Formats: sequence, C-alpha cells, structure tokens
Amino acid sequence: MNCVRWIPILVFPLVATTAIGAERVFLKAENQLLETELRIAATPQIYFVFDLKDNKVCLKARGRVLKEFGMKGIRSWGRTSVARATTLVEKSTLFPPKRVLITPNTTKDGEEARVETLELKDMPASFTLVMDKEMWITVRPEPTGMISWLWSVHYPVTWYLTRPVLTVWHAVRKSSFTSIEIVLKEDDARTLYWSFLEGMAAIVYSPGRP
Amino acid sequence: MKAKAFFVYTLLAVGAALVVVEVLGLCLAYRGGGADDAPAVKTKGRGERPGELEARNRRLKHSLDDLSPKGVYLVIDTARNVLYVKNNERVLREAIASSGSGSLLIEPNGQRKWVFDTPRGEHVIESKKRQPVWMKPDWAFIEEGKAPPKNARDRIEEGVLGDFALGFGDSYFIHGTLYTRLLGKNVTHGCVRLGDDDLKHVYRVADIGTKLYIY
Repeated sequence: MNCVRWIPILVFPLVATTAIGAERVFLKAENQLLETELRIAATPQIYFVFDLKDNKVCLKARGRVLKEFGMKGIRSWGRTSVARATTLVEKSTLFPPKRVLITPNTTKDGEEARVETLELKDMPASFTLVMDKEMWITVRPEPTGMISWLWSVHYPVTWYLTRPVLTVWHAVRKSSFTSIEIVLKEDDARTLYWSFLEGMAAIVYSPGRP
Repeated sequence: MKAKAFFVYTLLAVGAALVVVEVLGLCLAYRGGGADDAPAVKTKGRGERPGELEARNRRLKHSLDDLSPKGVYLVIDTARNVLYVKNNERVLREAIASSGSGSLLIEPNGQRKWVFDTPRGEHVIESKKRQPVWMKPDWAFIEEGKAPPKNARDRIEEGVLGDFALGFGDSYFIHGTLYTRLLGKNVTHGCVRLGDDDLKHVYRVADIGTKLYIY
C-alpha cells in the first residue's frame, strides 16, 4: 500500500522532464527558423517559407507575410533539416507556359495588337520546383472532381515506387536528397508557379511532424 | 518457345532486381530519416533552458520585426492584378490594376528584344509626377511597326499616363490609363496601371521612399 503512494512522486519528475524536453525541442526549432529567416529577410528580396509543421506556404518580404496559402497534403522523403535555406534553381513541368511573341503591326495600335498575354490561368498546377542542395518540391493540385481524383491515385503509387530507387541512386553517388510533395488548391498552385521565380530564396521548415 | 522462355526469365529477373532495389531503398530511407519521417530536432548540443531559448527567440522576433516596413507601403499582386495600400498588416485600400503582359518583342533585325514583365521584388517609390508625359521608348515604335524617331520631341505623348505617375526605378511607373476596360488584366509593358480614383489615393499616401513589394 505504501508503494502506491510513491508512484506519483516517482512519475511526476519523469513527466515534467519529458515536457521540458518537448518544449526545448519546439523552441530550438523555432530558433532555427527565426535565425534562418532573419538572414534572408535582411536582404531586399521576396522569399517563400514552406512551413511543413503548420501546413502553409507563405510569401514574405522583410519578415512580413505578403500572401499565404494552406497545404492540403504533404509527403516528405529523405533528409530535411529543421529550417533549411534554399534557392529555386528551376521550375520543371510537362507543358511550361510560353511567352507570346508580339508581331510588329502597323494597322493596330499596341493595345489591340496585344490580345494574348501570359496570365495566371496559363500557369501549370502540377510541377516540380528544383531547389539547390539536392532538394525537389513537387506541387500537385487538390483533386476537385471524380476524374481528377482517379488521376490523383497514381501520385502516391509513383511516389512510393520511385523514392526508394532514388534513395539507392543517391546512396551509390554518396549524396543525400530531399523530396517533398505538397498538395495545394489548383489556384494556389498556379499562383505559386507564377510568383516563385528562378533565383528566389526559400526556407523549408520541417521540425518533425507529429 | 526458347524466345518465349527467355522473355519470361528476363522479365522475372528485372522484376526481382526492382524489388531488391525497392527494399534496399526503403531500408536506406528509414535508416537515414526517410519516408514521411521528417527528422526531429536534435535535443543535444547547447543545453539551454527553455527560458533562455524563449528569450533568445523573442530577441530574434524583435530583430525580424525591425526589418519589416514601417508606415504605409504598397504591395502588388501581378497574378491577380491587385494593388494593396497597407500599413503594417492592415489593408488601407485595394485597387484593381494592370501589370506586365509577359509578352516578348523582338526587333525586326533581331538585335534587341524586350520582355514585358513587371519587375518583381522590393522596390522604392523614387519619383512622383503630376500630369506626366510619356517619352515613348524604342519598343513602342517597333511594336507599331515604325522606326524609332531621331528627334526626342517626336517621342512625346501627352495624356496617356493619367493625372499622376509614381516611378519605381528603371523607367517603370505606377500610372493611369485610357484603357480602363483592361484593368484587372496583364496587358502592360511592365508598368502598373490604376484607375483614376485609386491612382489619386496612391499618389496622396505614398511618399518618395515608400516601399513597394511586387510578386
């Protein structure tokens, strides 16, 4: 009977230590994000933050959020640091939007001649952001109808078939890689393609998901 | 018959190799923080107490806040063609705009080319003009199929930029338009067009030095 009395006394320090440890992990992750962001925000540039913890993509400048959209799904594979600063090298897609070539025209004035322009609707909703330091962020649109839902079934299949092969490939080359797949609303995916230009900085914040 | 057997055995061998690679890949991935498993933050290292970490994060947040624009600033969303006049997080005004068409113009002799994008990034309002006059650049003549004039006076066009213009560098301006029906579309040569009332408001609130963020 006496032993039972001692249980709370023994358990309490254990619970308290675990709680302090978890809080420290959270604060350290936040600290890494802030330090990384501070470095980028000190320069006159617009940058993206892919927050895999809170499922959101933020377009920021000088620490201020200019635009924000939620992620509908996330998959990640490979090595990710808590807060990694990276740069967009290339946007890869099956059918990249093409610029309209203006034909010089003597009969129409400039406004009438320019009927076809590059707009948000011309941007792809499914693409891959090739970042530096062996990181790929694949963006997919959220399925909206039966056909797109059926089509979306192949994404996880492709993901789990190709990622192990890539892992082996990189292990042979003695390099590591990070692959992230995010699902956005179709319009948000197009906006991301539009706004994210080659050479722009980004932070991928991934403090370990629950 | 032999060919068929060879085909089947080859297929099986390829399949088996693929399975081995898949299993190996999965093992490697899980060993090194793999599938759907973003690694946790390392708890070892500097043994700071939560209180110390909190204080450090507060300082970092302050430093980040010090960098953010103070007072009125402008934000332009070129994808949706909207200009926002903001003060901190508060939107003071939202205006329909027109931004760059993204089109490409190549000089007939192929020597020069222009891409009509609105420049993205952080800018500053560098100049403010009332009743601005447009000095038509070479591309404006080339687009119309004409040769650029030698005389600067032949480049002057009045009344096309509206009542005000705010320059943000490299000959890019926020200005008015005659083509109000095209507001909300990507049709410009890189400048940002606004309707008369919105332009007047922006001209009034944005001083020289006001920050402008374009994305």
